[in-house]
Amino acid sequence: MLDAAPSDHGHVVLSAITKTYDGRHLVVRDLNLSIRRGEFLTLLGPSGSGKTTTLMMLAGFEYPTTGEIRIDGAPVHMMPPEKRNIGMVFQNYALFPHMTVAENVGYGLKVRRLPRAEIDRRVRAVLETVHLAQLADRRPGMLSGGQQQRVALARALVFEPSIVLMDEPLGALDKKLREHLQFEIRQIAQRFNLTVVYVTHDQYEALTMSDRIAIFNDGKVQQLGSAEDIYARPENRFVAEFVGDNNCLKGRVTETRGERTTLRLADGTQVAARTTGHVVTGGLSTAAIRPEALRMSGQPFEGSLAAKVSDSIFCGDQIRTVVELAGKESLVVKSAAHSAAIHPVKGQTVHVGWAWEDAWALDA
Amino acid sequence: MEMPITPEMPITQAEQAVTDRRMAAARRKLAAMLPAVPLIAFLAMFLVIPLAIIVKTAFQDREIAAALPATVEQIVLSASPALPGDDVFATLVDELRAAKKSGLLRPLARRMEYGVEGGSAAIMDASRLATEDLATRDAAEIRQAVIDSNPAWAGPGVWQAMAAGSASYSLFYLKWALGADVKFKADGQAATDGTYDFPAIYLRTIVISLVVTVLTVLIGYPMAYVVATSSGLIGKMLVFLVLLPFWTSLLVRTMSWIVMLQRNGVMNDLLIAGGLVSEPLPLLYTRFATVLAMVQIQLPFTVLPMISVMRAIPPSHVRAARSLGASPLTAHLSVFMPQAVPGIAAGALLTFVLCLGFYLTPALVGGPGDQMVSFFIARFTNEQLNWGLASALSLVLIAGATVIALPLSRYISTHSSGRF
Repeated sequence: MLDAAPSDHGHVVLSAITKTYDGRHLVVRDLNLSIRRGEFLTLLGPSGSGKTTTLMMLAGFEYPTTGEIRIDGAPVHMMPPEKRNIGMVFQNYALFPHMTVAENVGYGLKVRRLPRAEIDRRVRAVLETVHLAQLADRRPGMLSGGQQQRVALARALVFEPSIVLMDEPLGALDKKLREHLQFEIRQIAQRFNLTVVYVTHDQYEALTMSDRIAIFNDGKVQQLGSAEDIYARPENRFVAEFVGDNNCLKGRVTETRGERTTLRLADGTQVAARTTGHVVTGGLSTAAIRPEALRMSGQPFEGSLAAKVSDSIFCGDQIRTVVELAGKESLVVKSAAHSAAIHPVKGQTVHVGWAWEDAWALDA
Repeated sequence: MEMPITPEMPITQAEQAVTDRRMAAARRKLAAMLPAVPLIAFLAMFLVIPLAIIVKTAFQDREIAAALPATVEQIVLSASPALPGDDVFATLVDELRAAKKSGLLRPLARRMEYGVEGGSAAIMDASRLATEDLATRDAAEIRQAVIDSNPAWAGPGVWQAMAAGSASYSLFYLKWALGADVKFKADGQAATDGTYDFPAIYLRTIVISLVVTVLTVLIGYPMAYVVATSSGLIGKMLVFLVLLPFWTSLLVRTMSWIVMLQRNGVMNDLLIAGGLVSEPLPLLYTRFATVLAMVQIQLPFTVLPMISVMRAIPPSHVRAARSLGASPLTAHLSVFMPQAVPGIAAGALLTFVLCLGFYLTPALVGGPGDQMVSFFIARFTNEQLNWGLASALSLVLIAGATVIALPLSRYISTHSSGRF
């Protein structure tokens, strides 16, 4: 493996990748992505957004229609998967049912024709890393979902690849186990300084595990950034709506003064939000406000809008209140359950408002 | 449900409850069987009963005992059965007279021919002079007359065959079907059956079946793989082509091979047009034609179980192997194929067992040396009316197929996680 990678290049670089299966419909369009060594990058998006295809192109099971993939500067996009030396954890694990756990894990070493003793030693070591040493002689069919997941992880790690791809590896597990394994995968990735490309459609998994997240939709990366960036500074409406909950108010831009943009909603109500590149005076825009950024009060306050409570849901640590504005737009307000401020009842009239810095004026 | 048993409650009531519950469970099981009743009735009518009849026919051997009961008793009880005394001849003549009247003579003659060379002629010759007139003479004269009618009566062979066929049920036909020497020469020596070499026929049946099985697996495996792994139009087309032969009758398919392979047939035309041969090759009525036609007919049976097993192998397994560094071939051999083995075994087993019983195709496109057991079963049933031997051959075929199939089918059912 080339170690002398130019410092201004990433460890894995995808440039100008497009992919089409039928020659007309683009599954991935103009994808540019630079992945740093040791980085945990998550590809997040709805199904059909191109994230899995991107992973498959990295793994070598699909070839890009145009563009190239380089690992440490060397082009790999036309290499077959077995030459790429990339570990992969599959959805549903893809463990070989006719082999024991140890044989599964040792497979990558056996096909590399390592001596038996060396295979045994490394299999034992990696099984200890994932706490499965005592199950080495079992068949995968006898293991629980969590144990199978660890075997799949061990198998992808045993030949010491620097890059590991994971395709929704925790999708089939229950919530508790998933959270536990998220933590473990993160630990292992850090310990072995792995470059991980992780595909998921579970945004909480993406937010908690990743160094950076690439939000995919319609074959394009919608936003690439840290979890905090993505959550707090959505670049477009898709990201705002896809990651976490957001209230969206559609209106026409009436005025832009520096950072602050004013929108006029359908019924004439004026709301304020932060200016972004999407804002054109006179054009349509959507203001996105997080439910937790909304303030709700029984009394009107500065910049507040009158609204009617249509539903109130108790969620343990918080209360979600659904209110309806004069122009029939629905808003969700999240407030701490213990807050003494207001416990709305259905039909009650309340006043909601937000600091304009917490709202983003995005594409319509 | 809990039934509290209190001291007030008589214990019989608790017992009654237990019995009721058992009865209810038995009724449920019985009710669950109800939909299978037509099938069970059908199987009883058309499988179990014919099979029982075949078994009975294979062991039944009563022609001699029925026609000549006293003669048989005398020779079996005598000190030297092979050289009976004068009184036995007298009894024989008496019974032959009776047999002529009761219609048992012809079956007797046929059965005696199975047991001894010239047996039929000996019986018929003796019966011709077995008149009332002869019966009144003394025993020594009767003996001389019978021996004069056919010299076979002087040798021990006829009597040995009679003694061997004395019981109403015997292993005579089964031994014959297994290739043992059951026939005597007139001089009492064992005669080898020169017409039918049954061990060779079994071996030929097994060899042809094995060759066909191996060929269908070799041709069918890659085909099943392509069908199972290609999702698009190619896969559908291939399945269609595999299933197409099912829509035409076996006879039509076999006849089309005759058209293909005959002296002025399509194959020879192509070979000559291609300059590969100058003279038409004798393709039809050969082992080659038999195997070729059988492979074509059996291919769907081999391929379909393979496809169903291969479809259940997730494509991610091979991908996982590739990502771990295995070449496409290594990944296939070490990950895909081991998981396809139950399908291969099921397809091969089905084909092999079906081939063992093949009749029509070898009969139409094979030569005399390519005929399998079923052909001889048909011949003994329809032409020679030797139903005992036909039944015995059937039994051997069924037993052989069972012995081969049972262990394999147990292997398949344990390794295919209930897919069959």
